[in-house]
Amino acid sequence: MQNSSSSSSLMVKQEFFTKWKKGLKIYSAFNKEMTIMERKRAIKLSADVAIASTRSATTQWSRAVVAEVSSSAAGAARIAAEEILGRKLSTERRKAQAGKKIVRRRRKAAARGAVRSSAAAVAKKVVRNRRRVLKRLIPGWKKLDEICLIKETLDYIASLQVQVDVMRHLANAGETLHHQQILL
Amino acid sequence: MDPELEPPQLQFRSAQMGGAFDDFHGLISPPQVTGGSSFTALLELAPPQAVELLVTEDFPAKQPPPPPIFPTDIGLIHRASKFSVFASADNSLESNAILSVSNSIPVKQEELDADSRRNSSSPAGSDQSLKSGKRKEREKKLKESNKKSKSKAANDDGEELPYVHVRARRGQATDSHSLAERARRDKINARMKLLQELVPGCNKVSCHNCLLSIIVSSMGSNCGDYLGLIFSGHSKRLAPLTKCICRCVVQISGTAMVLDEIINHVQALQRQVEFLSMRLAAVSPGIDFDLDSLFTVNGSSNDNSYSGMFAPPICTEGQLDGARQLQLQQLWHCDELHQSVWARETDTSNFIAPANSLLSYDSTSANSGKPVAPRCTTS
Repeated sequence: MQNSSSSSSLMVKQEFFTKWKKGLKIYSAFNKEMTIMERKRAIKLSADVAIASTRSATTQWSRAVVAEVSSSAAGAARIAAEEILGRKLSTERRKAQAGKKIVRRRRKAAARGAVRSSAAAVAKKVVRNRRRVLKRLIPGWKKLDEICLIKETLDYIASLQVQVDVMRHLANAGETLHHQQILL
Repeated sequence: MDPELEPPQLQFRSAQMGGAFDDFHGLISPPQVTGGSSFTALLELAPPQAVELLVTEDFPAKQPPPPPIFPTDIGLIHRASKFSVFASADNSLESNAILSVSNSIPVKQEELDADSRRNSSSPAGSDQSLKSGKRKEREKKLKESNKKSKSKAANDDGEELPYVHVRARRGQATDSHSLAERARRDKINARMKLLQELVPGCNKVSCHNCLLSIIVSSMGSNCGDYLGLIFSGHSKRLAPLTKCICRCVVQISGTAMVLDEIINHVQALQRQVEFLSMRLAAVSPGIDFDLDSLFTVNGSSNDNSYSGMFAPPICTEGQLDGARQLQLQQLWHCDELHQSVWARETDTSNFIAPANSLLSYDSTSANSGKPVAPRCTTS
């Protein structure tokens, strides 16, 4: 059981790692000399696109990440993202938001009609505020309603942990190698 | 409607939580006995109960069985060295077999429990199968939720439910709206529980004070401690916490606190991504993005290098970040032992594993006394 679960998580990590490397290679092919901030941005973008592509557009947040990159990226970033995803990026318009908005409006109208006691109302307000904050953390939050929010959060947390793991391993390896090179 | 909903809902949830926590407690104390079936048990417990809860929804005739709960977080809440488990394509055959079996089971409380117990007894196969099944269900669910999220909530775990009677709780209306609202709310709460499992230390809502102080402060001070809590701490450090667990009801304040911890968790992860990318950017001038080429050099031993890189250091990750100076010094000591290894380019990917395994022995004792334990004693 342990082996199977760790091996499948290993597969995802490998997938993320290979995709991330692909993106980084393209960046390094493009311009040899980058400032540290440019390099950081390149690393982060490649990592985000890579981890979003591991979900292969099944989740809302991964689609939102890809959409954001496709709308705002330029030059090397765009080509790196396309290479990672394996397809052409298109500047997507915001579409199909009308349905979600209508649903949300209906729910708000129903909520306002109910009469609540003060303590429960305060508690509910607290919970609602927290939900709103959480929602804004997830990429692509505009299209999430309550149920999807929790699902997306689960998925997003898991993917973030994979991303952090791989990046940390690479950073440690790189730094120890660097120190090793300095020492020797 | 809401005030009437709350008390009976809480009572129901207490029973449900009692059942869920039984599995947790049974699996927390013997660490890793059934190979991470704690969350599996919850996962299979939640769907059967979610089935009862969502009984008034209209189920389309043919539904892929399990609930649309994200499958990958099962492994994450395994104690110690497990990470997120993503459904793999290899298990599609198993999933089809299990799905067909579970489809034939009629909907009854005892049978649901038996189903969950049977599933949890064979965690390996059903785990993956349920996960891959749940992923399909989740994809379908996403499309459906775009249309109308309330009525199309098919949350059964394999049983086809054309129509199930629901006994209205005391003091509660039986019209379809309130029932649908209640079902929806219960579905959300079921998923919130899963989310609690994902975020470390989040599922013990009774001792929220000590938990929050531990987690928030550890996150604020040092990411490594927090990660130590995730990876290595569950068996040792949360033992005192588990004593504080009472099967209390998840109240609204508990929900708020759970949400708070989830928010902190997500923010911490996002911050870590930023810092790590900064670290990598700082490191790479010396290596000039050649690190990746180093890894691609040994194409034949890629699997070895990956498993060597990822699997063993996972356990020691908390200590690594927590004591970087100590780690570097120890690595420099290890240098002398492994100089021949490190001199060769091709072994750069492999040296992490022996170094980290050595680190685990050295730094475990050094870092085991980190923040969680002392804070627990005070609270």
